[in-house]
Amino acid sequence: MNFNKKTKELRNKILRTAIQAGKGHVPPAFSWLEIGIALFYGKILNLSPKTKKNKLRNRFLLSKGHGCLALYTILSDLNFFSKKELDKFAGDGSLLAGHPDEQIPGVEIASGSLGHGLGVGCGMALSAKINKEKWNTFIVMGDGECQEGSIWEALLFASKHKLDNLISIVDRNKLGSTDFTENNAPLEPLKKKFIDFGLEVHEINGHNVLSLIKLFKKLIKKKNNKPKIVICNTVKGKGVSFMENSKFWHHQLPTKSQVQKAYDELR
Amino acid sequence: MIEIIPKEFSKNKKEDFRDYAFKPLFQIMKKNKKVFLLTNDMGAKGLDELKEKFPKRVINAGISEQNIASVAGGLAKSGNYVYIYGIISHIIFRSLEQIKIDICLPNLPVTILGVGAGLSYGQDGPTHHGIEDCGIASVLPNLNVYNPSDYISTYQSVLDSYKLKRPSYIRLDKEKLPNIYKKKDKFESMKTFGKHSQNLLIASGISLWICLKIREILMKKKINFFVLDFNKLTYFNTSKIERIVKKTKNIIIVDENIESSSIISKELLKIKNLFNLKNTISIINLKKEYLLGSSSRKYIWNKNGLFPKQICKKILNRIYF
Repeated sequence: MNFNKKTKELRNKILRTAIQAGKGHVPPAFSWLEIGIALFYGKILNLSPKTKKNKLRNRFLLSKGHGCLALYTILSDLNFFSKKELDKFAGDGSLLAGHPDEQIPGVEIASGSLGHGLGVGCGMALSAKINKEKWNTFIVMGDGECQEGSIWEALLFASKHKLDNLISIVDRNKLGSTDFTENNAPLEPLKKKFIDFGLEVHEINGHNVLSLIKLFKKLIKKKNNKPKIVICNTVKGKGVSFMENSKFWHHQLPTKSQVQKAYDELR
Repeated sequence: MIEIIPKEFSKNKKEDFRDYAFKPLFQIMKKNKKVFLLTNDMGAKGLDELKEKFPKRVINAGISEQNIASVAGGLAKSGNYVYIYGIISHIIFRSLEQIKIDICLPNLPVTILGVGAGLSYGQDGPTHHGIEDCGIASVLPNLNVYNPSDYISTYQSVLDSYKLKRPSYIRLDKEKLPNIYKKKDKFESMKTFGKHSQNLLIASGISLWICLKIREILMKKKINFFVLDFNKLTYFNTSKIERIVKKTKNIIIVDENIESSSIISKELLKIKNLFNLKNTISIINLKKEYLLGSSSRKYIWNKNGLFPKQICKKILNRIYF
C-alpha cells in the first residue's frame, strides 16, 4: 500500500467531514492519523468488519476520543460502516457523534472523557493473559491525557500484572486543549517516568508509518512480562501550516478563506 | 451497638454483612471461572478465604478506585463477571465517572459491593459516611441499587444481581444484626411486614429495624402500622407500590440518608403526585449537612430523631398526622 497516498486521502476526508458538519476536532485527528494508518492498514490490528466481533480479535481503544475524526474516516474507508454515514457526522440522529461510542462498528468503548482507556485496556489485557488468549490490546491516548491521575494508577496496575500484551501509544504533540502541556502540568521527563513505572518504553516519529509498523510488529512478538508504551512524537494539526503546533487550534474550524489554503496544503 | 438490636446477639455473632456477601460469591466463583473480585486494599475475613481459594481472580489492586472501576469494565467487556469491593464513600464517589462510562454506559456485568452504608462508619467522620451515595448511584442509567437490611437479604441480593448480569451496587451495613428475612424467602425488590392497615411505615436497609421496632411499640398501644421494606432502590414497580399505598392513609418514611439522597422519599412523593393520592407523607431522614467531628450512629440518630422511641413519641403526640 502507498501509505503517503492513503494519509493524504484521509487527511482531506477528515477536513471535508468537519467542514461539512461545521464541527469536529481536526488538529487532534491529524496528530495521530499516521499511527491509526499503521495500526489499521499495516497488518497490526488485523481488524475488519468480518472480525469485529471475533472473541480473539485484537482490541483497539481510542482513549483520546476527541481525535475520533481520524478513526471514523479509517473505519469508513475499511467499510465498517458506509461512507454515507461519515457524511452525516455530528448531525442529529447520526451514528457518529463528536466523541465515539460503542454502538459504532469497530469501536470498543465510549471515549471523550480522558484517562479511561488505559484502565479499561488493562482489564482487557488481564483477561487475555489469565485466559491464555493470544490477542493484544492497543490504546492511543493523548499526552495531555497523561496529566490524569488515573493513567498513573493504570500504569502501576499494568506493571504489577506484567501485561506484555498491552501496547499503549502516546500521541506526544506537546499540546493540550488550550496550552502546551509543559506550561500547565509538565510531563517531562516523560520517558523516564514511564521507565520508572516499570514499562518498556520506545520513542518514535509518530508520522512515519513504515517505522511505526516495524516497531509495532516487534512489540507484538515481544513477551517479556513488561507492558509496552510508545511515545510518538507528533505535530498537532499536521499537514496544515497554520494549525500545526498551535495552542489556538484544538476544536475550531478554518474560516472560509482558510479552507482553500488548508486543502491546497493537503494536496 | 444501637439499642434496637438485642445486645446478646452482637456479642456472640462474629460474622457481618460482608461475610454474607462473600458466602454466595464463594459459590459463584467456584462454579464460574470467569468471575473476578477487585478490591482497593480492603480486608475482611470472608475476603481472605476467597483470596486463598481463587488467588488469580481475587485481585487487590491497591488504593486506586478509579482504575479498579475501569479495569472491571475492561474485564467485563472481555466476557468476565466482575465484583468490586470497597468502602462506599471511596468506591462510589472517587470513581463515579468510571462507573458511569466504563461500566454503566456499556451495561456490563459488574457488581459493586460497597461497605459502610449510612452511618456504619459513624465515628470515622464524614469522609467515611455513606449518606449521599443512594442519590448519586440511583441516577445512573442501567445501575441496579440494592439496600439489604439483614444477612439473608444481602445473600439474596448478591444472587439476584448475579442473575441480572447488569451493573449493580449492593450497599453493605456494618452492624451485627439478627435476620428478619427467612432463608426460604425468594428475593423481592420490596416486601411488606405485618397486616395491612391505614398506617404505613416505609424503610430500606438499616431503617427496617427502626420501623419494625416502632410497629412493635405502637401495637402495644393498639395502633397498627405495617411496614414496607425496599431491598432495591432503582427500577421500582410503581404500580405495585401504588396498590399498597392507596389503601393507606398515613405514611411515615424512615431513611438513614440525607434528604437529597432519600430515594424512597422521592419515589413515594412521585407516586403520590402521579396518582393524586391524598395520603399524609412524613419523611424522617438526615439533614443535608456534613457531620463533622466524631459522632457514633447512636449519637447522630438521637440528634436527628431517628430512634424508634423518638418517632413513636411524635406519632403519639400527633406531630405527623
